[in-house]
Amino acid sequence: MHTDPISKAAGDGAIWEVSWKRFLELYHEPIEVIARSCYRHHTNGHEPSSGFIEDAVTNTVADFFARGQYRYDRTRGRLRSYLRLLVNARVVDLLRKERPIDHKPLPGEGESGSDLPAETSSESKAFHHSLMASLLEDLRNQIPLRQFEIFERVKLKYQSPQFVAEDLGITRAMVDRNIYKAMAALRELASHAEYQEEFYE
Amino acid sequence: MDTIALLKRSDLTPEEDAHLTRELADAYHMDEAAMSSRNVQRIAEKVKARLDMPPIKLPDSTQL
Repeated sequence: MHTDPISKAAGDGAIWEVSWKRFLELYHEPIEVIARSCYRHHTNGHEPSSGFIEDAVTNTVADFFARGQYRYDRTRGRLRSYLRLLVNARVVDLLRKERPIDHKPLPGEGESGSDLPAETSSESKAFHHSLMASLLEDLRNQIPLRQFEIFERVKLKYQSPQFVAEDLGITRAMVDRNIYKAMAALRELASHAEYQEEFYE
Repeated sequence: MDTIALLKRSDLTPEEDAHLTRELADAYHMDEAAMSSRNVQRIAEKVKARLDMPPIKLPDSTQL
């Protein structure tokens, strides 16, 4: 089953390994932004249709999980670099089918075989949001369920600590202690090499 | 403010803590929205159809 999560090894480089469905939810935005940027780059600034972007995202995620296998190997480079190459390749494949009239030579037709557009700020921002969401996903899987619930309600859903304490029948100090522990776990996760490499340029 | 640098520290000022919380909450809500997005669901159906297809040789523009 493709939708079964791939099991995570504890703390040894399996951070990105999730089901393709979850990967799509977490990374569809940066993939879309990269696909738009690649399309403009290869077509002298033309805007892609929403259908084109949808196909590019579909083909990228399907390719990322080809034959049900998670294909990214972090020893070969950063996730965002791999993703940019993959999205660009799928955009070029789709463009070869579409062949807009006013286009630059596509990679492989011209002098350069790896013609990638420069990373834009909107792409960095989208990727940053996806990484933060991945971090929260990892936190959810790492800490006790009740601790994540308290963290989620206070820090992510902006419920008052007092309200959460009363609702759960615990003391306010207990709420604070759980949030403190969750934040410590979040800091520990963010310090992992995978995240540090992806977060920084 | 550098959110990632803030994530490394435990001695945040109230302003820094508010900034970090806002960034985390933004990412959380965007993820929640993606999970219920009809657009994402539609793409997921297409991905599933692609993954369920027998393997075919696709044109490949890179040596990935």
